[in-house]
Amino acid sequence: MGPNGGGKSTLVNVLAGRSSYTLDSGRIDFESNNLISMTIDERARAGVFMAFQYPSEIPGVRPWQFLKAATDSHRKSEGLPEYSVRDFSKIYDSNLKEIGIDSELMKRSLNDGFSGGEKKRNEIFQMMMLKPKLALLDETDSGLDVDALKAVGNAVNKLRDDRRSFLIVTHYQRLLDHVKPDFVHILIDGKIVESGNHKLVKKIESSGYESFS
Amino acid sequence: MKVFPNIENLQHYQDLKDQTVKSSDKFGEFKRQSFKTFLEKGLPVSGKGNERWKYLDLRSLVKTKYKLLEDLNKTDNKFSPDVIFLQNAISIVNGQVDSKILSSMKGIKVLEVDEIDIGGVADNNEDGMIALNSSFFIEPLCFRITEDFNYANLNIVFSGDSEGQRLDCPRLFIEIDSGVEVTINELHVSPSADVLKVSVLEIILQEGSKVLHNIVVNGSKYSKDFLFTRISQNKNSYFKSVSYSDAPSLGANDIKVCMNGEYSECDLRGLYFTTGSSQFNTHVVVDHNVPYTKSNQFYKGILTDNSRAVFSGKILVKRDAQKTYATQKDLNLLMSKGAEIDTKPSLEIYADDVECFHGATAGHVDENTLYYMMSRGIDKDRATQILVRGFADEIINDISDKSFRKIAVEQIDKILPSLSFQ
Repeated sequence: MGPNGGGKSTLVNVLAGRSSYTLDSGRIDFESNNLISMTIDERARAGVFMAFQYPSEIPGVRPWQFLKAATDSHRKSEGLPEYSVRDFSKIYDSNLKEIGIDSELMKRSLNDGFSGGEKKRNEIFQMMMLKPKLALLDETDSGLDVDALKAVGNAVNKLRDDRRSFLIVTHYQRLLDHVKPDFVHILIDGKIVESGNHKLVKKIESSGYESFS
Repeated sequence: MKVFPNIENLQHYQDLKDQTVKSSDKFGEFKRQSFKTFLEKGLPVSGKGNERWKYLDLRSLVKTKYKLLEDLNKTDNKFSPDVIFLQNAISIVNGQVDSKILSSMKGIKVLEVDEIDIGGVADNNEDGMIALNSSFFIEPLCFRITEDFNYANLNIVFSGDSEGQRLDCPRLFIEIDSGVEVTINELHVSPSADVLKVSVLEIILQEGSKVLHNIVVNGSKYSKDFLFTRISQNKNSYFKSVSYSDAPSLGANDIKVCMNGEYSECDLRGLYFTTGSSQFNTHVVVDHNVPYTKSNQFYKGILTDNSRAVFSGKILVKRDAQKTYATQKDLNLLMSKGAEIDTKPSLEIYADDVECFHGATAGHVDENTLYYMMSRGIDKDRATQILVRGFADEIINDISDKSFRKIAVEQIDKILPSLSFQ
């Protein structure tokens, strides 16, 4: 958590490998890898996933086709055979149902004409499909209605286990009502100024960030 | 204005004409008149005063003395197009029509010379290329489609053997009877040789008729494919054209629709995919001559390597054509630093109660979109291919005939993996 412009989105984008950022020094260790030496897609296949704050709209590309290509890439790098169309569709449909996306919507091009909330749900749907080891959620809760917020919370809780981590960027308490964080960090001017547990969120809600700077 | 570059070539075509236009030729007079026009107009090699072709380098057209089929050894048996799976197919090999199938098809009436107004829709004065075709076509294919036509589609396959330096001038004239609905698929399989093909297709849509016209051009890096489609629409008729053209060394998809009947509508879409050093011209004109007509032009380009494409689209609304609704859009994806697009959408409006829209874009693959796709584990090359394919699909999916669409899809899928995107 942190005030606007504090570096939260920068942090997750640097972790995911966005090419517009240059790292002058340091390393990012993730499992046995130094992420800095890996391309965006290599990081993704190593288990890093980013739920975008503003997901791209991709004309002409169907969500099914897109996710099949993504899943195939992941399986290939794990030395596994590609899913058959039938097996993939089964997993796809079941996850779609669980996150509560209308299958009619997914007949459109990816994110094309999706509402803000639909795009966010679609991000979480992709997370459910790809089952990352480290999920970066960049303000996924903004613009979501109560039901969507609950669905996102449920999806995170379902995937949550001792082999997976989530880094959730948020401004609000409300997602954290559904997902109880193990740690809360406050990022101001690119630095973690305070760390704690979920009780820290209450403090921010009542007195803002000024007391930390 | 004469733009013929050298007298040597002029003499060459004069000789060619003397050989081919025999006194017994049913179209002899038309050809002789057309040749006069051709001599006045010449081939469009000069950039100056030549709006349609000025962005392309057509000088190679006059470097070669193209010959007609009679000059070459007939090599019909050597060539067997691998497209014979298309049913109801008229085969045009080396510009020569095999019309045998026509007489066996119900609902097709072959027209005699006195039953048609050849050149009535495709005006020789419009472009030297059309006049060239009108001067040198061998046996035009002229027929009417009547209400008895009951086939899913009519396929026209243009192909040729690889004997080079040949001029092919296929010519077709089709009249669609009132109320008749037909799908016409036009497939051009270019030979791997320096063949200059200038094809002219004239279609007249009578009242209430509907034509879905799909075009696929599989170019070769040697071929020069210039396609002219000229359409005349009568009242309440509907014409839809969807074209896919990939990379002849030099080529054009040139369409003109004259909306001559009220409540007629046309929808023109196309994708040009240029690779290597190919040059391709898309020229689309819709003339709204009467009130209450509607048109749409939607074209896309994918340009790679050092290829070059030109789009010039025009909506002309005549003074009486009130309540016209016309749109025009051209979107281009530049995949390399060496590729170039010149796009020029234009409106010419003389009526005061119309709605017309136009627009054009040219850009590279969006970095944010690539980042998004790669963040899902898809490598850059594959992500780019998926994006390009998605861009193409918006046009390709509009090819109404499923089996014909497959030809375009297979062609794109064959080209995409071999490309390197800088």
